[in-house]
Amino acid sequence: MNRESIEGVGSIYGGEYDAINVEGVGKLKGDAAANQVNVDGMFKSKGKLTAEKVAIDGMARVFRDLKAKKLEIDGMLKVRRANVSADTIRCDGFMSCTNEVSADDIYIDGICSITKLYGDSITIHNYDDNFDVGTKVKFLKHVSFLGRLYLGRKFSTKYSLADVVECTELQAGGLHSKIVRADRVTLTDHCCINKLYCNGEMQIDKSCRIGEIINEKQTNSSLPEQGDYKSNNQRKQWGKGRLKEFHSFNRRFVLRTKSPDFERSMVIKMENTTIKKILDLYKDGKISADEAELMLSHLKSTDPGASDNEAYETSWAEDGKLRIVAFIGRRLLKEGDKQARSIEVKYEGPALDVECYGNLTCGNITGNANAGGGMHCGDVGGDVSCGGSLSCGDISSDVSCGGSLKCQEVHGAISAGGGVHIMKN
Amino acid sequence: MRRTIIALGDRSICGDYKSVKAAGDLNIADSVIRRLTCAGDLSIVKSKIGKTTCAGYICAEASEFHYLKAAGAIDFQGVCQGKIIIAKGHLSADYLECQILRNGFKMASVKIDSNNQSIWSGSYKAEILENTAPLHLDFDYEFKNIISLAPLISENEIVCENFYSFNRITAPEVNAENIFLLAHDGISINQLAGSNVTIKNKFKPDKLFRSIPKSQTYRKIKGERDMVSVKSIEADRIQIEYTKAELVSGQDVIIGELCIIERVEYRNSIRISEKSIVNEVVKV
Repeated sequence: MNRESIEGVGSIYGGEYDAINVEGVGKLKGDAAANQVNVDGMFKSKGKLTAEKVAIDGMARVFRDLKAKKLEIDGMLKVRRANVSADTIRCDGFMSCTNEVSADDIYIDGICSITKLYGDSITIHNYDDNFDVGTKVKFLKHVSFLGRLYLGRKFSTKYSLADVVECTELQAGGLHSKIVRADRVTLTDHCCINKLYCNGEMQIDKSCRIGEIINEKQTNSSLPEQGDYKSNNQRKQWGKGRLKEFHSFNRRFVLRTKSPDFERSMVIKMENTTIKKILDLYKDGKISADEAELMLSHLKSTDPGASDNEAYETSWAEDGKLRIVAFIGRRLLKEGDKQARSIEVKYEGPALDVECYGNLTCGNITGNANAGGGMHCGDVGGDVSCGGSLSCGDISSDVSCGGSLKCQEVHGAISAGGGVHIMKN
Repeated sequence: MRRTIIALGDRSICGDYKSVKAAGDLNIADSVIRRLTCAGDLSIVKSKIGKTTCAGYICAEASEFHYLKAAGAIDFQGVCQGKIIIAKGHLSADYLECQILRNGFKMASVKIDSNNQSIWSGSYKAEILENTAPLHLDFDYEFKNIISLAPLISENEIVCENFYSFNRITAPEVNAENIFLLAHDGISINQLAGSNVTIKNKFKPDKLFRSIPKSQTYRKIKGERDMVSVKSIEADRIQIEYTKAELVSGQDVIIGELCIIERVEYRNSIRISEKSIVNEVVKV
C-alpha cells in the first residue's frame, strides 16, 4: 500500500494508505483509510478518515467522521459537525468536538470541549499547570471569543467541558457538564454537574457542585417527603460521608431552584394533582426547572390562594376543633411569628382545651388553657399556661404565667413571673 | 398643476399643488396636493392629498388621503377615505374608511409609554388595523384583519377575520377565522373561537400572514417565556403551546409543550406533547 507523506504543503485526495504522515500543511480532500496517520504539522480533513492509529502532535481540523482504533492527541484536535469514534482515546493536548465522541476507553489529561462524550471508562483531568499562560491571561481573556468562534464551542483552560457524558465508569476532575450518566462516578477538583444520573457508587469531592443527583433505579418509588429536600448550600457541602448517607435513602429528588420561595411553594402544594404532574414532568427530565417554575407560577397566579388553602386544610386533622387562624396576605401566621403575638382573640362561650399563640380573651374553659400572650378568661378546668399576665376565675389545676396572676382560686401549684393576687370568695 | 410652495406662518391654499411644505397653521380647501409636509395645525376640507406627513393637530372634512402619517390628534369629520393612515395620538372620526389603519409608529423607532394610551372614538372601517401602541377598542369598527404588536384592550368581543396578537391583550372573547396569539405576559381572554387557533411562543410569518396588506414588514417574533391563560378554546384546528385552559375543543388538536389543560375534546385527531399536562381527553 502507498505511504503518503507531506513535508511541505500538499493535499491528499483519498484512498487506501499504509501510512499518512503530515509534517507541514496537509489536507485530505476525500475519504481515506490508513493503518497509521501521524500529524506533526497542520492537517485538515474534509473526508471520512478511518485508521488503525491516529497520532496528532500538531494541529488537526476534522470536518468529517473520524474512526480509529487508537487516537492519541498531544497537540490539538478540532472536530466540527462530525463524530469521533475509537477504541481508545488518549488526549494530552486539546480536543474539541461539536458532535459526538465515543470510545471504550477515554483518557483526557488536557482540555476538552465536547458536546457528547460516550464511553465505557472515561477519565478526565484538567491540571492547570499543563497550560501555563503566564502573563498573557488578560490578553487571552480578550481574544477568547475568537477561540469560541473558531471552535464552535465554549472552552476554558481552567476546566474541561462536556455537555453530556454517558459511561459506565467516570473519573473526572475539573469537569463542567450538564448531564452525566454513569454507573460509578468519582468527581474531584471543582467539578460542576447539573444533573448526575448514577445508580452505583459515587465519590464526590467537597469542592464539586452537583445540581441534582438522580438514582434511576428507584424512579417508581413514592414522592420524597419534605425532609428529603436539600438546599443548594447543603448540596454544595456534600462530601464522601454524606454521600454514603445518600445511598441509604430510597430516592432523592432535589430541586434546582432559583429562589427559596419557589422551593417552598413546591413543597407546600404537593397535594395538588396538576402540580404533581408538573413535578413528575420535571423529574422525568421532560421539562426544565425554569419551565416547571413557569407552569407552577401560572397556576398560582390564575387561581390565587386556592392551592394554598388546600395545603392548609390538610395541615391539621379533621378533629372538629374550632380554629381561629390569621393570615397576612396569603401567609398563615403560625406559632412563633412575631405578628402572631400581637393578635388578640376574643371568644365568647365555653371551650374545651384552648391554645392561643397571641393574647386570649374567652369565657369558661373546661380543659387546659395555653396562650402565648396575656390571658383573660373565666374558670379553667385544667392547667393554665400563658406567656403574659393572667386574669381569670377559678383554676382547678396548676398555673404558670410569665406575668402577674389575678384569679379567684387555684387548686394546684402557682408559678408566676409577676405578682400573684388571689381573691377568694 | 401649480408649483411647489413653502409656507411659513399661517396660510390658506386652494387649488392643485405638486408639493406643499408648511411650518405653521395651514388651511386647505378644495385642493389636490400630491405631497404635503406640515409642522403645525392643519385644516383640510374637501381635498385629495397624496402623501401627507404632519406633526400637529389635523382636522379633515370629507377628504381623501393616499398616505397619511401624523403625530398628533386627528379629527376626521364627515366621510373620509384613505389608503394608508398611520396615526400616533388621539383619533376621532365620523366615518373613516381606509385600507390600512395603523395606531402608532414602528416599535423600533418610537419608545412607547404604556401609560400614554391613544384614545380613539367614532366609526372606522379598514382592511387591516395594525396596532403598535396601546389601544382601547371601545369604538365602532369593522376590521377585516387585526395585527397587534402593543397592548390591546376591549370590553366587548373582538370580531374579525384574521387576528394576530403579539403583545398583551384583554378581551372577553376573540372571534376570528384565524387567531394567532404569541405567548406573552398579561393575556387575559375568556374565550377564543374560530376556525384556526394557534398559540405559540414564536411567530414566523406564514403564507396567509404575508398575503395581508401591511404598512411595515414583519419578521420572526419571539414571545416571552410566559403562559397564556384562556378559559376555553373552540376551533376546528387548534395548535397551542404555553397555554393554560379549562377547555379545548376542536376537530384537530395539537397540544404543544408547556400546556395545562383541564379538558380536551377532539373529533378527528389529537397530539399531546409529553411536556404538557392534560387532565381529561374526550373524543367527541
